[in-house]
Amino acid sequence: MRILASELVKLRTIRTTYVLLLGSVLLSGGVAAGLVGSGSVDRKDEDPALALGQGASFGTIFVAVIGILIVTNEYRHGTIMSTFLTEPRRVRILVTKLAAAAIVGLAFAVTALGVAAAVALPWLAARDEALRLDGQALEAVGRVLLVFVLTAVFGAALGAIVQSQVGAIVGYFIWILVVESLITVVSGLLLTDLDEPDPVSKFLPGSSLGGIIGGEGSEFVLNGGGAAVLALGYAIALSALGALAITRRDP
Amino acid sequence: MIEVSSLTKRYGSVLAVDDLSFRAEPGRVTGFLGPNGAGKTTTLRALVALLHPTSGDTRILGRHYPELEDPIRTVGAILEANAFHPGRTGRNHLRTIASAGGIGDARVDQALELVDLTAAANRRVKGYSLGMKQRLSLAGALLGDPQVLVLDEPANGLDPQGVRWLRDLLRALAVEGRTVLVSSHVLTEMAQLADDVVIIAKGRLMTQAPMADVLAGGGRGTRVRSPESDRLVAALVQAGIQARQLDDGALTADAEPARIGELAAAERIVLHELVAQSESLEDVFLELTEGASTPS
Repeated sequence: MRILASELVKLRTIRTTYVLLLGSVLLSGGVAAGLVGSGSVDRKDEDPALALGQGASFGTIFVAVIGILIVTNEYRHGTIMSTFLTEPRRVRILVTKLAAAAIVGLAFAVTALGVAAAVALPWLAARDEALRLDGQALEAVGRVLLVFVLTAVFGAALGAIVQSQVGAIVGYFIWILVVESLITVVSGLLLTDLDEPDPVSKFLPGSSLGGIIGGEGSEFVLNGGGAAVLALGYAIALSALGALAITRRDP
Repeated sequence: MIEVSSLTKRYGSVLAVDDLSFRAEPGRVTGFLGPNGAGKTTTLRALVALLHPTSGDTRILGRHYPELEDPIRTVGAILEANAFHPGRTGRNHLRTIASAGGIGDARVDQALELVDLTAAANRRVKGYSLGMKQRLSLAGALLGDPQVLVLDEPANGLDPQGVRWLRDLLRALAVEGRTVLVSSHVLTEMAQLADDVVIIAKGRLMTQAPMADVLAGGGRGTRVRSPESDRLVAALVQAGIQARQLDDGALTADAEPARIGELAAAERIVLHELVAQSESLEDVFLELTEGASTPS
């Protein structure tokens, strides 16, 4: 527990954490305002809470970065050495960092949801379209929490595998924004017509995260539960690779 | 007590440390000397399990570093002069280490006081001078009040007062019974600090001995100058004394001044200069590492 306390001190004592949190809050609030203002979310929406949650989940890009930084900042600045001195069993360090990432992911999710709710709920109520906080809304909240936590864990595990800060961040975004899209297009061209869902892309790591808050209605991702299980599998696999890299490669 | 036994570390085709064995005893400052690239840092990192040795063994207080129950309360280490997040304050940097070792903030403030950084404690490290960073590293190493100190070039970047302060501090820590292993490539620092020296070059042990023995064992010579240099050399050689011509025309001879003076008198050779020479640590060091290192 001591090393977890240390990880949280590390996060609280650099500005980057707060800058990224601010980014996530602004983005989530902005998207919520956009959704409500444009009328994309209203009473006729099948699941307005989930739509808002999807909006809040844009903040996951910041959480991915902070997950990566939890590991790579230490390699970049050489503090990984004093970290390994405090706990020479490196796998413990990685597990602790993954836990710290999950905690930060949770904190970012709560703030993103809070801001989205603070923007959207009074606005919808004023339009006489008040959101009902029912089971469906609670499920949406749960999905948002899960996608933030798993994204942060993905980031930390990737950081442990790559160790280079720039490499991990650039690699993450190239994978999410370019590689997965390319795979989708190629597999669509080869295996199906482009307007039909291809059988491959929904199993990719980024899609599995997206599926947690997408799900159900869409044919292009797994349904929420399946996506969550798959994303969890990816998180475990990436963490295992990270553990291998962090023990094998000396700082 | 630190024990390094047959430590070998190979990076590809480069043998960074080659079958190195030595000990550092409690209550003494052990100077770990060698030219740049001799393998000092590699050895010190292996000691605290920051790298996997190719073969051999390192122990601190009889145990491998990862087996120590409370590592940072047992061993304080500096492995890198500038290992800080630049945006973190000095005090917060120490708090990240202290919290991992279950050490309270009061001790953090004590350590800051000890290295005279209290005034700068709440400034971000990126504004620190090299000397301040070095002192912050030292504060980090001392946080756990450890029995063993492993310090890689802790005097780098310190001004002369800082070096003297460090020397006094390390001496005081050793007097309290702690084991202090400190590497350096600056010999003058070591001559006044270390009780024992371990000298390595190209990853191999050149010598391990008490500092006093190294200085004495380096041999004493005599600097002698004569207008009849050739006759003097002949006389010395005949007496079985080795002599070497120096650039300025003088000779150094491996014997006491008295013996050389008597020899010269017996041969009626005029002398212009006759001075006892004791070798400095630098001479010994250069002799021991000669051929093993290439000047850069």
